[in-house]
Amino acid sequence: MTFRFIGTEASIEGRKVEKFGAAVELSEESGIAAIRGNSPILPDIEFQACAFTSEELEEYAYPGPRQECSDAFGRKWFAARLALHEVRERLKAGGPLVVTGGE
Amino acid sequence: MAYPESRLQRGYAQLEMVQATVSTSVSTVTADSGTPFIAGMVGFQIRIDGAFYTIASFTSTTIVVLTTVIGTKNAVAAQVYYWGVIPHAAGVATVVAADCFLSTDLVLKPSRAIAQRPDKTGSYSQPVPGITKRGGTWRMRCTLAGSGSAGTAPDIDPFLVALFGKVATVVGGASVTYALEDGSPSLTLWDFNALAAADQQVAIGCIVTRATIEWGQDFAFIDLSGDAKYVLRSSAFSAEDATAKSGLTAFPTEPSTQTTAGTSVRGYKGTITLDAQTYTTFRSGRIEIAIARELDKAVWNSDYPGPVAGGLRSVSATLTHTDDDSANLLALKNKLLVGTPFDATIAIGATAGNIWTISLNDCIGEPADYGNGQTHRTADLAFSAYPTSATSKNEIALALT
Repeated sequence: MTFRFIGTEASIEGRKVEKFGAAVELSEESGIAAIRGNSPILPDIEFQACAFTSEELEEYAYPGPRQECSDAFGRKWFAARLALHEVRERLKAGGPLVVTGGE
Repeated sequence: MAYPESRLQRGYAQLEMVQATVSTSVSTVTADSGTPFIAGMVGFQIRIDGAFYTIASFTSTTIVVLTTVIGTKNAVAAQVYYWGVIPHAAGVATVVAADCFLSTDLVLKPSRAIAQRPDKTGSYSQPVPGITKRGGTWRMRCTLAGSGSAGTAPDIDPFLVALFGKVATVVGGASVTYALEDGSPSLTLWDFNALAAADQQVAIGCIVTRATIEWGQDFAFIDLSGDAKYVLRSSAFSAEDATAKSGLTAFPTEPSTQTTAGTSVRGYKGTITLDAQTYTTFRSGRIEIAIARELDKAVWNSDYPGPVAGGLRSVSATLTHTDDDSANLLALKNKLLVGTPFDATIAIGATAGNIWTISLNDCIGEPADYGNGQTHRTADLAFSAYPTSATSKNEIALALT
């Protein structure tokens, strides 16, 4: 399962991740444990919903440029952090990692 | 034979806590998952809506809190802090990769009293002493490292929860704030060495009695320490009693991978505000939180200490400042001289997701000391923080943004 990194630097199951938006492949079980354990990763579907452009992910891949980011990126960045919070709270409440759309 | 290398030490921290929910029947609290409340758990503290309540009884899945005590609570989140039991499922430790934290020092030390038999023997030789009370101590030092994502707690979150007395308040996407509470959550701390066959350790029922945060150098550091129920070692596992094993049926191996997040905050970046004035001429500083929590050392029929009893808190700070003749600093020094309270905010770090803001209220201290040992005279400020009212618990708070 693909997760996306939204922090500054991390070692996730021994793999070093530094770039914002970098893909992290984990089993669902490992991903849940990592998110509950405060790793800054989002399920890919949640990350895609934030609608980052490839240009933004390139420009703001590292923490330095993100300190003075565009308003548009700032809004998406906040949305990603908020989505992570909601995923984590959902998991803590015994809910699923990903909520599928309505039927 | 192989040699365990000090550099290959890894620490893991787990809160001795279960997330739960108050049911609509208003007298029972149900764990959010699993059957975590097990026989042998002692020292339950249950926190509901910011207050702690007494537990009447419990089963594997529910805790009963008297309705007359908690009043009407429907579907409210609760935290159940137990003490002295290693988080486990059917005897198997639940420590995972994401419990890992990085540290410069992690020291777990079991203790046991060696008591000399006091009887006279008719000679000057002394009989072999006996081992009586057991216990343990622990300490940990690491650089301050936020998760790198505002609104996500740092790897050392369990330590900070145990220090401040309750879980943090999280504002999604924005902040994680630790504020004081009179609870005393405890930790299980694991000290694994990468040499799997080497002796491994776990400290159970760890309470935090002292914390210091230092800044001004390349990195900012936090030191934490306290007492533990016991420190169990893998080499002695089979010889230990059930109380020492603390719920385990076997000593676990280290998780095969580790997960940590964040970078170390730069200890010379940030914003220091005293009495509503921001200063850019501070050189270094240190904040100390001491909490007189203690484990009950007089437990009948037990070699081990009992659950934690809370104690008074004290929060103090020392800051070294390049002296100047500004009206603001002169006014601040005068406040220290005459004992007028002021507020302080110390923000360490400048990168989003890794800014540690310490708020101190109603600070009162000693007259400033002048240091003449460097090119410019320094003004050394030392003060303690106090709550804003007799019933408040807000002498210090820590926010990560």
